Amino acid sequence: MSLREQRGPSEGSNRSESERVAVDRHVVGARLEGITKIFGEEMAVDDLSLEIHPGELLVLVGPSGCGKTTTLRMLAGLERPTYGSIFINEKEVNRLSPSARNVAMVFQSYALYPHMTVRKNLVFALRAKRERAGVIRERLADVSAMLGLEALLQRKPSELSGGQRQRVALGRALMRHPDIFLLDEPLSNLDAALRTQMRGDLVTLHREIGVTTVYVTHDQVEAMTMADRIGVIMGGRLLQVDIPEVVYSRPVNVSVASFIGSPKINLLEGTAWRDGSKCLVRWDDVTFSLDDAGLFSGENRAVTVGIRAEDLSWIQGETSESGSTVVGTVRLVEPLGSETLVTLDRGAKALVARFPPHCGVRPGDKVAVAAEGRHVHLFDRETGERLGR
Amino acid sequence: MISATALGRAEGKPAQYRRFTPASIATNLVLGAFGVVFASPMLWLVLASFDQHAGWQVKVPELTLGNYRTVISYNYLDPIWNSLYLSLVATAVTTAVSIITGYVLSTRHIPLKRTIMLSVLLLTGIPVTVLIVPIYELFVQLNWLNSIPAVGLLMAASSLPFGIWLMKNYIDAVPVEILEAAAVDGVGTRRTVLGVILPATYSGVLVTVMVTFINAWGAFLVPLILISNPGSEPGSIALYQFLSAFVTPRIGPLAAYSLIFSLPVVVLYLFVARRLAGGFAFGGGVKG
Amino acid sequence: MVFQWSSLPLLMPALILIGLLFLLPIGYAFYYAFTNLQLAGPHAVLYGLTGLQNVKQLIHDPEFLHSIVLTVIFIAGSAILGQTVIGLALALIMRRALAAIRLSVGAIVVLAWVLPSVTSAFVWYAFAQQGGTLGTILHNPAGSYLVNDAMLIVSIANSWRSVAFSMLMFAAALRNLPTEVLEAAEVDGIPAWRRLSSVVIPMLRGTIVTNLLLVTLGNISEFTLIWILTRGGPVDATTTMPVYMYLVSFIYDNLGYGSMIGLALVLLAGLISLLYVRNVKDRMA
Repeated sequence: MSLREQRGPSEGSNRSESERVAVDRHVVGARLEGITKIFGEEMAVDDLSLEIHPGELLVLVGPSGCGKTTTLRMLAGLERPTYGSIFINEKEVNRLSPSARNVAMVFQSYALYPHMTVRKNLVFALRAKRERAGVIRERLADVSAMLGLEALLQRKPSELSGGQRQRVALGRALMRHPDIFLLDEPLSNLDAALRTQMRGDLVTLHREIGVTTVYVTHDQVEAMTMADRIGVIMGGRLLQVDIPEVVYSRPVNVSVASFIGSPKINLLEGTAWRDGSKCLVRWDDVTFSLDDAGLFSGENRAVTVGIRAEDLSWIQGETSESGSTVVGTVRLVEPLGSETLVTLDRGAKALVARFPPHCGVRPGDKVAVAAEGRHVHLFDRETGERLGR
Repeated sequence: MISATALGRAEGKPAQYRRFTPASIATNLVLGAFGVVFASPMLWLVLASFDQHAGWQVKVPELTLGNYRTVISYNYLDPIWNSLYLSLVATAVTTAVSIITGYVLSTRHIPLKRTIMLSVLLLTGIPVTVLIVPIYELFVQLNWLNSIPAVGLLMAASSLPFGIWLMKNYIDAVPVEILEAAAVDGVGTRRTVLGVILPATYSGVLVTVMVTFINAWGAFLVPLILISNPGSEPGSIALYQFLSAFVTPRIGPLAAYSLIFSLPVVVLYLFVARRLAGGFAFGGGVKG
Repeated sequence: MVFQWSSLPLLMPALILIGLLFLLPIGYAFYYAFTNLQLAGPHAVLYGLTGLQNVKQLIHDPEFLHSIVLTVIFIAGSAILGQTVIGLALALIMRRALAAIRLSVGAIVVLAWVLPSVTSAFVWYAFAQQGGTLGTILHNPAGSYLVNDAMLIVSIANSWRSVAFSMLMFAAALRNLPTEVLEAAEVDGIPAWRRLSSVVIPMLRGTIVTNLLLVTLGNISEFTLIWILTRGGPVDATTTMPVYMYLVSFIYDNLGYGSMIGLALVLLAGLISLLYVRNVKDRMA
């Protein structure tokens, strides 16, 4: 059941629970400046600078071991940066212990107190701070209602399902009205169906409450669908931070382009040169013509060409190559219902393209695909950096 | 990349915000002081053993090897050989029987296995000292008094429940595919145990050996009652006798004797501990 | 699954050893306890059942009751306080200590545990002696602690010797605690002492109970240390149940009555062991 269904109709008061939770909070931003973290010989985070806007849902995404969780933990205060400064609400917090930062964290394993009931888990932090009983009760009521926890209050964590535990972990964080919400891969331990549903619920929750949230995941689908902005981290470096659309359509280098987008972007090695006002790119014996010259200066350039699967259009009926049309032999057909992914071999290279749902293409067929110049991404072959616009 | 040390900054440690807080200094000081006081009885022993005129106090020794020479002379060390004999019998028997019994209990079908295992566990809690009276009578009837191997068997029997419990749990942890592979290959029981089980449960064997040996070596009440022949008594009894023989005991030689007597078990412990990097597994019955 | 008969000979050694040297004595303990067997004297060879006479003697024996009290004090002081509590405290404190100090203090504590009990008794005999090091530390060189504070010394000596076991057990348990739960408490702003009392210790509850049972079991039959330090004295100040059993059986030569005392001990040990087994069963389930 989604949060909405569990919550049921709003109770008597004229403000919803989430509004009450949201209203007595001021929204703060945070900033990481030149953050570097070295563990022994290994550099986990490399000179990372990032601005976190007040109230946004920022998703840090990257492959396992890229340093995103370390960055999150430094924000929380569980690790101390080797160099650099962290600011929360314009105050430098490097020296502050986690307890003093007013951040709340949801761990990947939920980390609920196993010997306490759900109720005690939720109120424990406030009780330890000697918060007034009335305030505790009110917040507990709001948070339980918001997350559908009322029926679970007397249970212990061992008696809960994964999804229920996750909601308790969220509730525990919400109870504290933190300045910043930190979530470390909260959905990765859930089954696929629950994950999809929770994604939506989390985004809704964020919209209603409006707390600045930093969310870490390795799943780029989660990142794309949930984030206000995405920060791509690889090898300890922040490669690109921007709204999802921009990260997707203008990836700043080959690594970002490969990581974001499913199926993976098609990458081809070619050469580019200028011809008048156009830029021509040659891969194998195919030439694409791109509309702009300002892509790079100088003579021929070795490039990596990136074309997304949806940018390779099927030229039906065509069987020969010309201009920027290539013909390949179909190797794999994966019907997804709303579309079909077709993998075709051309020479030594395999290309993936999105075909319409009932295309009737079969393995072994020869099909022709083409890409429009404006959909072609160009990256310098050596540095991987994006060329041009 | 500039190295961390070149810039002279301290590396971050997880959640430790200042290296030397007053609390952590106090903690270390208190712990250190505790350690020093805790060690003082043992310190006394070492110092007194090298002291010409050892007293009951920790003091700067008048260094001499005379105490040790006294101890080594005569046949004062004979009881220690008796201890060795006794402990070796106990250890060999317990280890061998624990491995075989653990193997059978782990891999074969035995009726009421759970009850048997829990009974074994129950027995681990009953110390042999409380049974000394009936054991004495039993030994009288079997005419086993003053027999070191017999006492060794007794110590073996008292360590056996622990050994069986430990070894069964260790053997349980051996992947069953390995045993099945051996069975399919037609490897007999004896070979399986020696060639497959032993190497795989090395840690458990070491713990069994160590615990049994230390128990047998340190046994006091049992040999006190069951061995009265002078010449057959183990080191623990000899030490006791030397201590209680004189109104003012000769402290120096006694200390030397104690040290020599304690050495084998300490060495054994160090040997085993080094090989069991992760500390002791308390037989799987005791999970943190 | 079929019971292989070839299993039987393999189990024989264990069955014989435990049967003969463990179970049979337990059975005999029940038997001799109700006889008038003696170590030497008229009933050393010719002895017989005496009905409930030994039981009556037990119930009305002030020495025995005194020994129970002393045993309880010994367990409270040496086992519960001296080993479980101090072992836990040590494990907790050592977590935050510098590695050098943690390793060296740990090694010292474990060394005391490895020493044979006779040696431990001997060094404590020296330590608590009049003119021993304890007197020096407490600025009372003439103090005769073995005489005046016999029970205290004996309890402390036993703790000294055995605390390593609890310390190691708790150290392992602490290492196995899920770090993320403790980190969650930290991020939630719970102060350190409160994390300890409300999160760490409750999560260690199972280990604490197991440890208490095992330590009590180990202490209830302790003989060597007490005997060598004080012989149960002065007078009967440290005559715990095992010591009393020894005195009755082998000094006063009354094996029958001594058996009865021993039987009481066996039953007590059996009871605690039963609790331990149940505890292990619950935690394994």
